Amino acid sequence: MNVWRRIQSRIRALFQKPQLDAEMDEEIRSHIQMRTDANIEAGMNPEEARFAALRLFGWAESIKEDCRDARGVSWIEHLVRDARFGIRMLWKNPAFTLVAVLTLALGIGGSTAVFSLINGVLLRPLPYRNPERLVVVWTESPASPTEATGYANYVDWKNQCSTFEELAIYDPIRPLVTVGERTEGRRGAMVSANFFSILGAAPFLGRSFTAEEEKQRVRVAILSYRLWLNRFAGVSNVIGRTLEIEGQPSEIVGVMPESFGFPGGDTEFWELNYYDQTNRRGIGMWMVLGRLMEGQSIARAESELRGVAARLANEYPNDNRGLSARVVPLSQAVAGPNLRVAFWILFWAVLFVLLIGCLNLVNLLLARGVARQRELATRLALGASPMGMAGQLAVECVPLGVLGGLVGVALAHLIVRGVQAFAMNRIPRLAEVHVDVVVVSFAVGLTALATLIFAVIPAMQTRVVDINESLKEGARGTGAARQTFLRHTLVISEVALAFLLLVGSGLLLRSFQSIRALDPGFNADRVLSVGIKLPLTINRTNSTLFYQELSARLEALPGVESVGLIEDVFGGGNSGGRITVEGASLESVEEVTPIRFDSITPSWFQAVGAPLLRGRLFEERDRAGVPGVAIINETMARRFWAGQDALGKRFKFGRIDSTAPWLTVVGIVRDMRRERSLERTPLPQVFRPVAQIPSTNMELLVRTSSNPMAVAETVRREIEALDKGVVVSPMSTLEKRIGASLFERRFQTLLLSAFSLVALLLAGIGTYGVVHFSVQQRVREIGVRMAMGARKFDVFSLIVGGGLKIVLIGVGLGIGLAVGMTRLLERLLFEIKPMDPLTFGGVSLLLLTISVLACWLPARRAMNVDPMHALREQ
Amino acid sequence: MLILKVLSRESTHGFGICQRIQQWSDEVLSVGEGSLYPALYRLLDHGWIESEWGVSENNRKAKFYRLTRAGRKQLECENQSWEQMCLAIRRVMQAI
Repeated sequence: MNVWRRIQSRIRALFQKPQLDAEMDEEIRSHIQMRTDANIEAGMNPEEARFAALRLFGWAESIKEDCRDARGVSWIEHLVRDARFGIRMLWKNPAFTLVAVLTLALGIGGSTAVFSLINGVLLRPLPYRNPERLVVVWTESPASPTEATGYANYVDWKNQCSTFEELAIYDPIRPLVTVGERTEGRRGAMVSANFFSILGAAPFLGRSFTAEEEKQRVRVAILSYRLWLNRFAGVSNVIGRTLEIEGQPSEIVGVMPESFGFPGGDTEFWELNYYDQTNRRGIGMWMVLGRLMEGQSIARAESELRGVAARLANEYPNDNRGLSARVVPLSQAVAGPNLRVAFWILFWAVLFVLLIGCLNLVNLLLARGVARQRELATRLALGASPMGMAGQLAVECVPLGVLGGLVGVALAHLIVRGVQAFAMNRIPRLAEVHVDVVVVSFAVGLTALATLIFAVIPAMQTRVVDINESLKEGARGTGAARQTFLRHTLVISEVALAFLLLVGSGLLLRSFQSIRALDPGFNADRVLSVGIKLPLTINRTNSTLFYQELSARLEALPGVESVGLIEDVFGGGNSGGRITVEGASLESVEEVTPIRFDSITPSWFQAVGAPLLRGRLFEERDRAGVPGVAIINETMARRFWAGQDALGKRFKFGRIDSTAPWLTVVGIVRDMRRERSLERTPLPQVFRPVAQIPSTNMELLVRTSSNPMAVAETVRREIEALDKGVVVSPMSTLEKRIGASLFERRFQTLLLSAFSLVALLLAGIGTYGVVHFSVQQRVREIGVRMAMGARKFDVFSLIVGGGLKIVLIGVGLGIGLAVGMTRLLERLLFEIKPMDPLTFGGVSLLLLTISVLACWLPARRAMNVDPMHALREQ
Repeated sequence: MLILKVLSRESTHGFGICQRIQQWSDEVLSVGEGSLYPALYRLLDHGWIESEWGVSENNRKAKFYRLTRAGRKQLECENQSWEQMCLAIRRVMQAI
């Protein structure tokens, strides 16, 4: 059968309908004429002949209809007709349309937005060659499964493993970079020569690094597209010019394309590794990237690597004892498990919101259906087929779905834009998110599904229309029991779903609260925080003098209480090392402990308001050249001098045979939560005077008596007055920095709360709708009751009680659901149990309050029913 | 099947088809003439026949129907299955 011809004829049938109809009319007319002629020939008179011909032909109109059906497109025509009717209905009820479209658009838009985030951040393959074979290799220590790796170990892994096609290394850095006159701190990465090729990326201008250059330790660099555009005006003769990194010239050999952003979207340049670390083992500074051989599994690679690591641990027990290796897919390393869980939970939450919205629509449409029941009954009585009418009712809803879907996709686009503006560079791969084909097909599918729900359920109701009852004078809605049951079931599910969402966001909120309530061990109020990098003209020894002078000048400012400097307030850079305590036996091999050490100026503890528990703070006499001193935190004291007094004890970094100097503990301070996020428990911390361990890269903290940002400009001027070359990072406050560290959690909590509030609103509207409707239906009954002597309060409690009964069932169901599902949230909770009774109780109370409100409005109407009026009217 | 058979002999208009069927069946098969048309349209839709406006023998404008190649094949097919069916029925009837 020629399909193409058939399609052609269908299209003709659709679009040339009048012409086809005219032809058909003419054909039939001519047939009748011919029969008439034949009859006349047979001897009838003309009148008689014509009637006979018509009689023989049959009922012309119904035959024409059959003929039209035979064209095979009548169903489309009916569809279009019903949809048109639907559009007219929407047009005629703007309020209903607005509510319905908004509900749908919110649900579809929200789901689509979250899905496009998931699609871009989690699902889409990383934009590198064969991304499924890319892995991150971590050094695993007893303290942490994800440590950076020492160079020599990386080289041995690379040479001894057969499951990897290639291994490469990189290390994110933030050095001072001079371009022309300007010196700024810039984000970059130090990489091995094969770093780009392992990712399948190449510069679009110039060339990549070569292995020969790496061997010779030549200093070469590659620019990011953005740095090239902003600092070199996008000129092509940039190749061969130099980039000064920490005062050392590096030759520019290439520019990466705009799309390349690894390790981060904000990486501005890559420099070839020029360090000589051929003997550095143990935990190091390198992140290791790997590309698996074709057909190799992660498990195989890991077991081989563990074998190699075990051999190395035997061979170099001093550095490698206890160290193993771990292989993680790059995609998982980019978007961590917490982010994954959070995104999927958000996704389900917003789908639930959509579902609640759909159920609400079903309810609205049902109420409208009741108003149309008489019309439907009349048509059924005139012989319309119930199935056909159900179909018609369903199709009438399609324009609503289409409209909701369109507005939803537009909304999704806006939400995605908003999230990107809000969270750029804080959620990995966010820049890659946009509304693409996958996302749009998701939205279309979702819209279809939603439309199916709210179109089909009300349409099914035609089956329960009882013609006799509906047509009777004065009859109220019939099939009522079944319909009421359906409507109540809908509201119960809405309430249950809303409860689930509210509990989810309640738990997250409580977790957030308990984190905020944590005592960080210092006082972050009114503290200005500024990163400063000393220029190359100030060497390490001079730096102490600079800090002293700077502190003195700033402390003299009005409104400044104290000033302190530290290397890294919240960083997690140096987290692993060995500590040898004086007096420990030679045989006791200390394992690697996660530990933090920072250089500080003497008044740092005052500046952050951290109390000294015992001993003393650093003083003028703790200079370079005198025996080393250290202040430690409680955790450190407990860990190494359990049951003893740590004050006055000595320890050193490294193993017992290390040449590191002995340090005397002169003070013990309280634990401070400084591990990137407040959530993490404090590690053992060691503070050294910056005079003994100089650093040119510090964070300046200024405690003020009022608003810290008010002195920001003065502080900047003072620094400049002291030395123009100092690079000052944007000013912030300690409060804000803590807030930023909670960003991801705040983001999740905020979104989930927003979704659950929408759910609460929708469930409230649903409850209101049902109660309102029941009042409308029972006006006469209420009139009778009042006429019989019921007081207003009785009526009130009748209505509210009825509504609350539904809500209570919903809440009960919700508790059941929540008990089953909140465990999935456990990962994101902090010090809150998944079945936190306070959350469950609070949410129940909230839902009940809202429902009482939702019942109260219609109940007030019921109370004001005038019995005379009500009885007479019906 | 009957329509196809008629058209396999000659192209004609709807009225002609009616008459042929009546003639050939010795007036046994005579249905409501109108019900011919939905059937014709269905055949058109299947692509088994084609139509064309023309002038009838007594000078009336009429639509003429003609069998297509696909229609001829279909006729053969239906013919065959009809014969088989008849054969089968005959056998059953004779067996009793």
